Order: sequence, then structure tokens, then C-alpha cells
Amino acid sequence: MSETLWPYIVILLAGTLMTEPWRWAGLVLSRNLDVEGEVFKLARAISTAIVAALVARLVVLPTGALADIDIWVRIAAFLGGIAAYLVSGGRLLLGVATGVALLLSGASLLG
Amino acid sequence: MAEADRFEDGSDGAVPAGSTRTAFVRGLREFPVVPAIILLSAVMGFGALARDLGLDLGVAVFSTAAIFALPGQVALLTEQLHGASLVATALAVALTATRLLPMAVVLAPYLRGSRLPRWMLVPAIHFCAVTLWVTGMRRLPELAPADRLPYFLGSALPLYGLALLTTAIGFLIAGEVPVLIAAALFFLTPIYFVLSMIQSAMRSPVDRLAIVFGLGLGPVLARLTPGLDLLLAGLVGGTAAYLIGRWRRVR
Repeated sequence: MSETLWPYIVILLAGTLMTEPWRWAGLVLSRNLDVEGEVFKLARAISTAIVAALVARLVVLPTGALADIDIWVRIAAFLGGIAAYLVSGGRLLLGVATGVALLLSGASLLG
Repeated sequence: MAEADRFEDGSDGAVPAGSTRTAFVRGLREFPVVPAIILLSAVMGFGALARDLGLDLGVAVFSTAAIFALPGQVALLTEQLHGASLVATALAVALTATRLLPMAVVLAPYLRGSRLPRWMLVPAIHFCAVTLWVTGMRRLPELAPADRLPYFLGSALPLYGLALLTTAIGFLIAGEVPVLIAAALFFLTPIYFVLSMIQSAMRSPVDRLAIVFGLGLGPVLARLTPGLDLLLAGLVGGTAAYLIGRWRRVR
């Protein structure tokens, strides 16, 4: 029983219990917390860097089908998607589509 | 915090919809289709990844339902795969979720003022994740305060249901689809996250620097300190970005 339940417990303990309180805290603090404050800026920078590190890990050290594609194709597609997003003045779908198109064409060309 | 100031001023003269139900239906009708397609594709990729890593279908769907924040979900999954302890996994997830606090702080004022009971804010804030935050911040200020929460739920509830469904679809089609399509699905998550982050860092040089540092440190630390890499990349990269931003301001 514990074998089948364990993944759910991990998700609740390491997932929900680590995620939901931040949302609740935001709810509670939303009336009188200084979102321009210094502590806040630091927290935001740390969380931004963590997600960025996670993103880089997914591109550089992927698992599954993405690992079969050459690392330079993955990196070029990733940077190309960002470039398309920035050049187009912040069009999310265009950036995503460009990245995916570069990934697929690069993978097809290099086999 | 210009958005919240606008809220304090009222609703830019918006006329309230006739009823809570009308506002809910309007949220349903104005469902954010394009952001939803990107998110749901990434969620599908998460479902496929979960199967790749040997999870059950129920566990994958439960993860989307119980966390509803893709970076945390992916962090949890890959931390466990990379052999991190439960505590290290929890810390990494908690740190990826810290960004939800400032997001919720900014979003929550727009969810108050409706005729719905106050406790509804608690389930509503569960939907506070990148996609609904971005679309909510764009649309809610234009509505009358009484309409905002039902409108938000009108978009959030179907997106939540679709996210659970697409997690299952991604799980089920993993292994069935051509390798290239599967690779493209896995690729959607990082490209969508990084663009969303750049979008919300538009007015913050510190956050832009944190993105660059995080991107650079991530792969390096993943090799040097596997299991602690996300934590370290966040603390080192984020603190460095903050200090550089502060130093620039002081000068």
C-alpha cells in the first residue's frame, strides 16, 4: 500500500505544502506589504534565478526524447526563440513557435 | 505598483455586469485561448515527462491538480529523479514557488470586492500561476470590482480542468508519438517558462540579470552539485543579481 501511496505523499509534502502557503501568504499580505521593498526584490530575484536554472537544466541536461537531439541544436533553438520574442516586441506565441521550428528543423537537418 | 493604485481608484468607470453569473459567463467566453494553448502544450509535455520517468497516470494528474505550478512540478519530478532527498526536493520546490508570493500579492487585490463569499479567495488563489496571472493582470483591472472574481473563475476553472485532461493526454501519448514530436513537447516547457519570465521581468533589471545568472549557473551546478543545484543557482544567482542591481542604484 505504502508503495502506491508514497508518490502522492511526496507530492503533498514536497509539492503542495511547499507551494500553496506562498499563495496564501500573498493573499494575507496583499493589503499592506510593500512589494517595492528590498526583501521582496531579493526574494523575487532568487525565485527568478531558480526557475531560470531549472529552464537551463531542461535544455542542456534533458531527459527523454529531447536528449536525442544534439545539444547545440537545443541551445540554438532556445536562444533563437528568445531572440524572436525580443525582436517581435514580446510576442509569446511567436517566440515559442520559432524555438520549436528551429528545434525540429535543426534535428531533421542533422539527423 | 501602478495596477493596485488603479484598483484603489475604482474600476476605471466599468459598469458591473448584472450578476455574478453574468460575470462568470463572460470570463468563460473570453477564455484566454492563445496563452492556454501554450500552457496546455507544456502541461502535455509534463505528462509525457512523468511517464518517461516511470510515474503512474494518477500521480501525474494529481501533481497538476495539487500543485498547479509547472516549474515546481518539474522541479519535484527531476529532483527526485536526480536522487535528491525529500528535504532537498521540498526546498527546491519551495524556492521555485517563492515567485508565487509576489504574484499573489499583486493579483489578490483584484479578486476582492465580489459578492461571492470571502473563503472563495482561498481556492481562487490556487489558480495563481504564470498564465492566469498574466492574463488576469491584463483584464481584471478593466472590470468592475464585483465582477472580477467570478470573471477570473470563469477563465480559471476551465483552464484547470483542461490542464488535468492534458496531463493525462500527454502521459498517454508519450511513447505513441514520433520522437521528434515528443522532443518538441518537452522543449515547450523551458521555452515557455523563459519567455514568460522575460515578460514579467520587463521592468526589472534585477530580474533580467537573475534570469541570465540562473541560466548560466543551472547546467554548471547540475554537474558540480547535483541535488542542490537549483537551490544554489537560485541563492547565488539571485543574490548576485540583487546586489548588482542595488550597487547600480546606489551609484
